[in-house]
Amino acid sequence: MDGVFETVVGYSGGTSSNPTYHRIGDHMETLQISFDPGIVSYDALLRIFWMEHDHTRQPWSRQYMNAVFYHSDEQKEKIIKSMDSLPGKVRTELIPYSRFYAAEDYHQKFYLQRHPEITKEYLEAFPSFNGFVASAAVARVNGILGGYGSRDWFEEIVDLLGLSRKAEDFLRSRLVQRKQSFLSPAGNL
Amino acid sequence: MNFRNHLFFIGMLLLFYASADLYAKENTMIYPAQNIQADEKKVPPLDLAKPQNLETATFALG
Repeated sequence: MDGVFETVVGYSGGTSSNPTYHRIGDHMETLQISFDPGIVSYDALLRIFWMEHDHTRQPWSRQYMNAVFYHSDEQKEKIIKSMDSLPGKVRTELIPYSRFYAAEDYHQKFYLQRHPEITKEYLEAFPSFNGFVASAAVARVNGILGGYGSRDWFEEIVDLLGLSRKAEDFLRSRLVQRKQSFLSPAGNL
Repeated sequence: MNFRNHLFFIGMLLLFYASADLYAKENTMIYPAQNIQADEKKVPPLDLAKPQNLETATFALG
């Protein structure tokens, strides 16, 4: 999505220190994103969040709960307002944000890491793996490989991704095989 | 130690090594980042133009 610059997967909402995938304790698997509210609004992100899961579902376990963490009173108000417009009983939890622990490297940019040649191109650009994870270009390419984005949107941003021609062509071929994404280039539904 | 005990011991040893190997594979990054020589000149234009004042949002999608 335009306006989203960083995505990191990890663990939040629990009390134990330094959780890992195998010792997650009372944390949940979470996604943390950094976005520019001048380009994409928090309300737009919330609309996608509600579309991407069943808010009436009873969670299987705390690890796999649906929840939204608010970082400010403004976010809390927007979440409550969006919750009020949903049909049925909302079982998705509203939780004050306290701390986020990044997940292990092999969980980050999951779809991209399954393509070693493209991954290598980006790892050559960033001095640390944290830089790779925090990269806006890497987040977009991971999204494309995960099944999002349209061909038109890709052509608008391709020069910003810093990839080789071979990698660009590979991503193009992936987008050709796919029907139009539900996300428009501006991130509005 | 009789033959049956020997077999049990060897079986447990194999099980231990198989579990340890599986655990190591699961906890290893898919691509070996430490073997890559980083070149900051290759940073994508999108990252060079990344805004500084970003807002944070956190979601759990079970």
